[in-house]
Amino acid sequence: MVIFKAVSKHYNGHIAVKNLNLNVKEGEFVTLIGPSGCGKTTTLKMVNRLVEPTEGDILINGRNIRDTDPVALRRQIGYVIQQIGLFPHMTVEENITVVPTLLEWPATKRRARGHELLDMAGMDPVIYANRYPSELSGGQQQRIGVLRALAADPPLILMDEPFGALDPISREVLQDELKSLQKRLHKTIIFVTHDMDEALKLADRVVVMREGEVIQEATPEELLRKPADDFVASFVGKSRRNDSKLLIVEQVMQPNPVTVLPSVGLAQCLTLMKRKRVDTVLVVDEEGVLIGGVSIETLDREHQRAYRIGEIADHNLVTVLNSTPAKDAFDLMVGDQLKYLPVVDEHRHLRGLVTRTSMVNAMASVVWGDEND
Amino acid sequence: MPADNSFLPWVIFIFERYWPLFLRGAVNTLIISLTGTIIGFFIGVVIGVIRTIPVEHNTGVLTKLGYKILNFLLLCYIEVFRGTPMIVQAMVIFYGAAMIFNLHLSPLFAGIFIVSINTGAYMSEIVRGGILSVDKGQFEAAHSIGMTHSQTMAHIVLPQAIRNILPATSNEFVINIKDTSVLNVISVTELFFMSKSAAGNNFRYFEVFLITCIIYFVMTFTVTRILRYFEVLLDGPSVYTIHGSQTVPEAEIRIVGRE
Ligand SMILES: Nc1ncnc2c1ncn2[C@@H]1O[C@H](COP(=O)(O)OP(=O)(O)OP(=O)(O)O)[C@@H](O)[C@H]1O
Ligand SMILES: [Mg+2]
Repeated sequence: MVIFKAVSKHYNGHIAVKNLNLNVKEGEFVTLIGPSGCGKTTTLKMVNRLVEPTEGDILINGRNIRDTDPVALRRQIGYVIQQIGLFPHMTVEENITVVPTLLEWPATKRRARGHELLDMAGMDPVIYANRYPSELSGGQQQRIGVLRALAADPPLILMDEPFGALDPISREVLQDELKSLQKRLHKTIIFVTHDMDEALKLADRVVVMREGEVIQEATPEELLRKPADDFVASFVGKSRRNDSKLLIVEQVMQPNPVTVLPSVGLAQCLTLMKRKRVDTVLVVDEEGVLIGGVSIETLDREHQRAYRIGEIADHNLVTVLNSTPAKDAFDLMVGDQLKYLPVVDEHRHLRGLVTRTSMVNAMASVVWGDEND
Repeated sequence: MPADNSFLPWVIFIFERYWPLFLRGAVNTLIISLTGTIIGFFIGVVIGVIRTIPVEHNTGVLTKLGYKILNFLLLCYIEVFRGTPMIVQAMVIFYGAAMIFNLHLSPLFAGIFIVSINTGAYMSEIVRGGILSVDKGQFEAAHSIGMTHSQTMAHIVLPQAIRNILPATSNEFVINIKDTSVLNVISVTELFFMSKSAAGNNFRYFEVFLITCIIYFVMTFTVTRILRYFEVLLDGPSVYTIHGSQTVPEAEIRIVGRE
């Protein structure tokens, strides 16, 4: 949908953006992230021609934006600026419907749209439509800023650190709202931030920039797993240490748990457990699909009654998906007093095991940093 | 002549005898200063807007040159009218128009004209300051949602700038009420001129001008109060509720009362 072709921007000799190539697909949520002054805002502003590139071309839906009138272009692109930028002399409703007003929508349609959007953001139009921005909290103002960008239903929305000035709680709430909004409305969003947590949480793809250049573009998972260099790693690492929530189960689990086939005999299983020094084994079939689990106590109790592990396996194991946030898994273990938690994928293939030990290790890496990862 | 030749009876006598004169003078003063302030305000807005047009890198050389020349002329106007006394401007314009253009202006018209362009010079700079004081983010926000420069000015910047310069504008009005007194030099029948003729008839300068003084004060004081009231009105309600946060909607803050 948006294609940057070798785009550069110089400010009297100073290079703000250097040879940027990027392809943002329709419906994609891309975050630009990097330290202050690395050219994120400049990149964003070149898309709606608030800033003209020195070199290179930007195409939107295959059309070079140089050939589009800037004013017409901007009316088709939603933009949420770095400092909210609501108009203080206009009511909430007037603020939201500024673009429809410019597009000369009839008053009734404008009004309906304003109320619809307020409803969508969970703000009662009866209460809020006629207020002034100064009568709103910071989080509410920011919502209005987002609603204003959505008002004329543009397919592309640019957002420049929209939640930068908010307290952590409103920030999370708004991030969640934005993400679900984007999924529902299928907008293409380019979102600038310098907060890695935010980038990882929201993005389909994260573009890491430094000094005007793209260092890495990857999905959040890839970025966590394979940071391109030390710079990215430290950037990602900082965020991981700050927030264990971002770790997913796959990253903290033990990848090769002890397993047995259901056809294995009890004695053979006991020997295996002794050798591996475990008190539990997981039972999987030939395809690797998890069937159940057997603990040493069960073995001890049932060894006279049964011959095969399949007969005594506990089939009602609590399991988690490999993409679950690690924190949720830990909460589950602590809450339900589980000794272990098998990790499976969507097809119930066993991927690994979370134990109390993996929990402690993960906590330790959050607290002391990840030396041996 | 009052029966008793002392101070208070004289004041009362003069007031009873000349009140229609004072009234006509006061009304003329108000008409000239109000009209002059309003016209001056519009001159100021137009010039202030022109003087804040951004010169982009990609504007043509000719446009740029034209803009530079216009800007220079406007600056000359502002500096000349702010740098000379209104009493002198009145003489130059009134007699200049008669001599050079053979234009015999009625004193009232001439008075309004002079006060207008004089106020315009001051207001230009006030408006320019008002425009520049509007947060830069507002321009950016307006441009980013697809407003042209003129739409940005008309819908976003000027409404805020004008709100900000309202106190300065009221101040100009009050100054004009007082300063129209200099127009007596071109025989405008405003309050000071009327007072002078009342005083000249009786040679009672102190008593007459005491009354004049009181009338001027009542006018400026009332006008100030009225304008202050409108400013407060424009500021919106003085009591309103701010919802502290969306996540904890019961955390309301009530802000009560600006004086
Ligand atoms: N109008 C301008 N004139 C000159 N230099 C500029 C201009 N705008 C930006 N720059 C420079 O270009 C570089 C990139 O700026 P940009 O605003 O894109 O940074 P950013 O990544 O958005 O930073 P932040 O996170 O602080 O918002 C900076 O070094 C900045 O000083
Ligand atoms: Mg920025």
